[in-house]
Amino acid sequence: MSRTRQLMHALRDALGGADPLPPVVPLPPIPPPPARVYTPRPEQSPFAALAARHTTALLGIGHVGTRYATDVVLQFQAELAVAHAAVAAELPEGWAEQNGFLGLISRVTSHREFLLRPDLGRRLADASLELVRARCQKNVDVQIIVADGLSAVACMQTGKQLGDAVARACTTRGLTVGTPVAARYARVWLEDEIGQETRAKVAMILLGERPGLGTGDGLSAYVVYEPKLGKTDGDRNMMSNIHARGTPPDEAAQRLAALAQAMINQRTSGVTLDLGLLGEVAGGRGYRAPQVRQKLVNE
Amino acid sequence: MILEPIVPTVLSVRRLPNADPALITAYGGDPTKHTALGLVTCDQDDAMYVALDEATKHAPVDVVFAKSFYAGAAHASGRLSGEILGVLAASEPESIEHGLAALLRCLAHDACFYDADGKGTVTVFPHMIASLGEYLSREAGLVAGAPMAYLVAPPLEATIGLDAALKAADVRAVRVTPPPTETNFACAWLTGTLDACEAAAVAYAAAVVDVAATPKR
Repeated sequence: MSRTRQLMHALRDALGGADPLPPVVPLPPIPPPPARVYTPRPEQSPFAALAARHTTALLGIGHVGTRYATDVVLQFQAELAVAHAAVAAELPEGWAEQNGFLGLISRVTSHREFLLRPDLGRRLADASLELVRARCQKNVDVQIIVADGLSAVACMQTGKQLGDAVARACTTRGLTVGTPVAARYARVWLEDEIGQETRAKVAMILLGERPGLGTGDGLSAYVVYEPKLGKTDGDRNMMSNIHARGTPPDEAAQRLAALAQAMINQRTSGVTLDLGLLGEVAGGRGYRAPQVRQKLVNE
Repeated sequence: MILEPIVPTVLSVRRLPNADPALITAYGGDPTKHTALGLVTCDQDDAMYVALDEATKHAPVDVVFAKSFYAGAAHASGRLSGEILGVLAASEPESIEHGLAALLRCLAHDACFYDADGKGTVTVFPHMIASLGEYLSREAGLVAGAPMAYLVAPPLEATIGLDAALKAADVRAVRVTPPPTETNFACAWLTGTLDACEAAAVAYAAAVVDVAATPKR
């Protein structure tokens, strides 16, 4: 490089005129990609449309090209988010006492352990066991347990309402109801130990069920006759989808009370219980209006 | 970007291996000494003066004719006219070839104007000649081999720049050509030690850049 050019180069750097970025190279126009635009195609089959009216399953949603429509995908993601949030939620400490329950806890010490160790969630912690022995009414007909299960959201929303409603329904039928208790980090089989300690005829646990798409607020009820450690799922009767869009809590309470009554009458539960002798209860066993899918996403 | 080189464009290069004596006389040569001519037009007159001088350092050639045209390159009278016609003369065509080679190399790689405002609307020629050749040393009245700063800029920029250059180093003004010239630029030739000339050239360029950035202050 010539001396003059070296001097001017140095002067340019000294004046701060050196551009930190190279000059913009003009690009040739880029042709648009060969994109195909698909028009949304709603479901054509009348059978699918009819079926879709009777379920919250993803039926009759149509397609765009080979894919779902955007609103369907967004709805799916929103529903999945609701389920994830429900699993991640925890029952706050002191919730039981604030709502008039006797607060119990399983042997689980953390939420992560609760998810990973179902066996620990089925047994009472030592302190809680002492509490049950000291404070709970014994030799009752029905011991009702409200618990968080896999959806603390559901427990907090309708757990107390359902527990109270079941207790009222049982009392109406002339059954004695035990001390209301609420358990944290509870699995279904926790009712065996609590029922065994209170020597109740029937133990009934009302707990948040495993969240599905869009339903993080569903409660399930598991009912067992002569609860004791070692009872299996074959010894239990259960009722699921207790929420506003499924079986409403008040209606569920009537049916659960009838179920408990039937267990005491037949002295058994689970697969050996004859539901045909249950008689007519609220809501019946006939036609039920289909669930309606909640719209979580605006189009 | 400021101070980017604006490389001169060589518009025409022609040889006359055996020029007519009348022509040689008319263009300032000596027919008893010169037979061959080399003619070049270019769009930067001051770069051409430096390049002609460069040619005299590399070959036994004389610069017999070098004159700027009026108005400058942006307003040239013809597509090949440019801003200057330079004529080299020698006793044989071989010398013209060597001289033209050095001249064109200098135009391509050394002597050039620089962009003083990043937009090419103000330009500056702060050229540093480390060692003068026969042609410019004769024009400047200096000995061949002396260093010289060859400084050109538009009128006001050149005035401010010359003041800065003279104060920046221990240099002496050999020739100052105030505007208007043929191209309406102003020119100054400074000499001193090599380092002093370099410092003067840099100060000159910096002053022109400053004026271009803030013309009213």
